[in-house]
Amino acid sequence: MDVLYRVNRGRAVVFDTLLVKARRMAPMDSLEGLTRESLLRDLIPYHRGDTLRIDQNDKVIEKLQSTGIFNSVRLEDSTPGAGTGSALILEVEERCRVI
Amino acid sequence: MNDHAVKYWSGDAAYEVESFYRQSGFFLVKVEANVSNIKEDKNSWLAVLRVSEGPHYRFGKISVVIVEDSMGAFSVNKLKAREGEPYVEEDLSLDQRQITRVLGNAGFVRARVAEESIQKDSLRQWTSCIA
Repeated sequence: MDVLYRVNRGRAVVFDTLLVKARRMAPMDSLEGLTRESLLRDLIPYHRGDTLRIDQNDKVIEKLQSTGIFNSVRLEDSTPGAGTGSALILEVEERCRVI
Repeated sequence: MNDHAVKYWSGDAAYEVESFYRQSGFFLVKVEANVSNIKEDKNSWLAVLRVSEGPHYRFGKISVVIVEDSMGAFSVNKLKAREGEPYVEEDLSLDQRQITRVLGNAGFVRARVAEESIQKDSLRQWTSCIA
């Protein structure tokens, strides 16, 4: 059985900006999250011009998930146009906390 | 339980066993299920699965082609599937993930890997792709 892996590599993605979207869970999902944006930004290990790496992205997601205060954590890159850097989007949904 | 249900479940079991063998490289496996009543007890059945394994396929040539980069090379030593080793279907998805991860850690976070397997004696071909 011969096996051929055909790889479509695409372009190397370079970090440019970070967008943070934190919201609360339904039914309060129209409200902004309580987590400080600066706290979330500090977790991102990239500076403008750095190359994105899957392992680094996964570490950020794991760190946030391990706190137990988020229902979901997503970190995705989006390139607005050819030849430009990537906008990294960190999206978290906070779990409802009953006090 | 009745005869009809027992036949259904034994057919299902035969299908599962066949799938297991195929995933391990026995592509020509045949599994037949035979069910019979045990005479003394009408609520007991004897189900026999007869397995004809057929040949055990092995991995042949393993190669990685990076489509848009003629200079690009990927060492097949990093892969789980190895030439001459028994075929294991799971190795193919592990390799696809490994290639995606290695490229993803070099900045190619959007790399896509498609796998094509060609059974040499019949030229049967499978293709799968992970994003």
